[in-house]
Amino acid sequence: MTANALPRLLVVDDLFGRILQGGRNPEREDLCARFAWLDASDDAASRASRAVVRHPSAEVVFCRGQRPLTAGVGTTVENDLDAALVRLREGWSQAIFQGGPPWTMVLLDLCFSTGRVTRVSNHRGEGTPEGRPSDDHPSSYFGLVLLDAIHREFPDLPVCIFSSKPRAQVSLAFSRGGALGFVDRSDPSAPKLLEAAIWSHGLFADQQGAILGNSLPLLLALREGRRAAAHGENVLIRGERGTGKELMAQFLHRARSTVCGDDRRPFVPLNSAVFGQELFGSELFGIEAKTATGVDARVGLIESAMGGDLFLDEIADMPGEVQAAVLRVLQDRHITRVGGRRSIAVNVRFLSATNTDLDREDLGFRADLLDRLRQGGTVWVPPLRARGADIPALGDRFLREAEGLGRGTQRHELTDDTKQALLEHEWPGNVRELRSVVFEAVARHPDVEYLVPSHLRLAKPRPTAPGQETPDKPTRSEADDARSMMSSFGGLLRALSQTSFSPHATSEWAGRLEHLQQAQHRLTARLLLAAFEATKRRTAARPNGIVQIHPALKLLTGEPGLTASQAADSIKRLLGPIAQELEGDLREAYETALRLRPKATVRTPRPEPPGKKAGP
Amino acid sequence: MRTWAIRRARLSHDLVGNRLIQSLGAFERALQEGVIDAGDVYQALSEQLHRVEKQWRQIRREGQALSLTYVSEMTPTALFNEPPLCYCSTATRNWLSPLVEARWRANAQPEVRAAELRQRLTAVGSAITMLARQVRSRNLTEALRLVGEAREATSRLGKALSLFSDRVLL
Repeated sequence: MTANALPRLLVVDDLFGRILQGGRNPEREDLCARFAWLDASDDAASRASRAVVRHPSAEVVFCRGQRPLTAGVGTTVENDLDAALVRLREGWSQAIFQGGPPWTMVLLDLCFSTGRVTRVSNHRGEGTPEGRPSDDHPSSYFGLVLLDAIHREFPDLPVCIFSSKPRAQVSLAFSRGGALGFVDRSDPSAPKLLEAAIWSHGLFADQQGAILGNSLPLLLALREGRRAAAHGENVLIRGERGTGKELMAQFLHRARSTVCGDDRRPFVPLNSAVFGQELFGSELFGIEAKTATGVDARVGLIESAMGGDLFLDEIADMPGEVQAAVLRVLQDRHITRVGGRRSIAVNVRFLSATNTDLDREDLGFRADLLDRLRQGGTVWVPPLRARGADIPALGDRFLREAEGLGRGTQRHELTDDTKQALLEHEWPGNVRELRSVVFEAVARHPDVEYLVPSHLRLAKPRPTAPGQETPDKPTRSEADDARSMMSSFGGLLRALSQTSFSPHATSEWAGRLEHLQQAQHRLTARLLLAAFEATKRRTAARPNGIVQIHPALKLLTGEPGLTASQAADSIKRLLGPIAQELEGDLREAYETALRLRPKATVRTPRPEPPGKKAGP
Repeated sequence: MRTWAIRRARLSHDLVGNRLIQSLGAFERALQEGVIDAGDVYQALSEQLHRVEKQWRQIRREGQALSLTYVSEMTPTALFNEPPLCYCSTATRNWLSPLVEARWRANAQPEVRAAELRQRLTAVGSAITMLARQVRSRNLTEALRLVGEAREATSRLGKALSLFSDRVLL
């Protein structure tokens, strides 16, 4: 999503998702006009739509969740879970892994009418099926079935119930199903309620474009930021060096200003490390004018931020005395200027940032201060390596910035292999490092149109300093993984090509079976790793993701009906033979499978131990 | 679920909630934001009004029918003509049926509900008639005020429909 791009919604609804004979859907047109939606369904109804929306609030794709899409008298309409999931995947999984904007939110209807379209039901509403008793019962709403399936396959996808059925009938069920809210579309203020739900729960990029990217870890972090804006409590921002913590602080500030409806709220940044013990008092609290000494009054930084946000960067470096002083301000909510007696009430939100785990006792940061600084929550800014999908767009932005500074006579482009090189780098210095690399490449090669990999000076990764953020990193690089996989695959193919399956060649076989099995297991392990990576649940706290064996196995096998138990059994069978070698995600998956199915016996293709007699 | 209750649910959900409220909302936004190009404004509004009036006629017909048949269709006395209550002895039926009927009338207040529904229908009808008059006389400022009233009246109609109980004993 580029700056100012519209939120992208998917509406799953039998009435608004269908297409009437003749191609139109007047109900959908009314809905789009009422909510100021741009119909982006790219179906016959959207093409035939006469709704004109000048200032759209969202771009919406409609999905019926039933088959057929168009029904006339005599047609039978049935719910279609798979078709709905296919539509969801198109806008979620593919976007997540290809770098496009994912669904901001899914709006889910509850009651889907099924059955035959009769003359009577058609008279009620064109193409309306007569309905079955279970369609309109809260315990069997198809919307709740869909919700359950969506939450299992896409746990991070925000879903909101969008129905004109009574909320109270399903409030427990939709909470259990993982929906984040309920908007009654027949409520007169439904458009405003929906706007608020999208703000709090939707996944969408920074509309101002200051923080660039659509990757899921980033969108989750931005959502945390917007949620934190709702209450106005102090927020702690954490993230590795160079991830853009100050940009996130500015985002939190803008979000709060939007909520307050006041874009003149001050934002005062300060680096906590720059104040010595002598200066901090006057800088933070200000100075009262003294007629006798001729000292002029000076407003301190806290007072400057009154009614707005004070951003304390690098709080881990804050001297002990300053910590004590800030703690007093947070406790008392009052300050007194140096040399003054008058107490001034403080109405300031404190945003603080650090790349250090301040909970560590050996760092000596005051726990009581830390608690107050994160009273309104912690927002984690993901490292760049967890935001691979954002790298090409960031690279392009930095190119334009570098050119804007006169660092090149030509307009530069990144070639595909340069982008690949950028994607493969681990970026220990994160976005700041990427910016430096691009700026340096442009400065050193101002007269070329294309930046090729040899133009990039990519630093070798350094070990992380003690106490700094150490997110769960992959145990080996992607390049190593790819090499290892090709080696395993190549080994398997070579072995197969050299193998004769003639009974006379049994002696040639001897000793190769184990090699073949090892190659096969390693190949399987590589494929599993890829599936885990593609289906990981990513949160702001775990930007590298949490392994989910069930969705991974479903993806790998292509069997949507695979149960969680079957998935666990498969993991045990596939990884059991190489259990001793497992590490990282594979180890996590294997242990999860063992926990889920501790007793189930799994048939493993192990050779019989030598000397053991075969049973009857 | 009895037929009357199914018809009531459809009226409330399909016709009022999903159609008329959305149509009026679209109409209101069209008037508020001037989203329709000036050249086509009256024709577009007339088309939208035609849709609102068509939906309204269907709702009025069904709403009036439901208000008139609520007692006869939903009275628990009718349950004694169907299994399993039809198996009650005559003696049991003689004391149980009036008791259940009295309880239902006390809890569901059928006459009050039906009268309220008719009142709400009248209110929506008046609002839409006035709205149509203003649109046809091209007084869009007044139409904007009236479309809000029509939407509010329709919302109250939806609430009145939701107050009908599908249960015999609460």
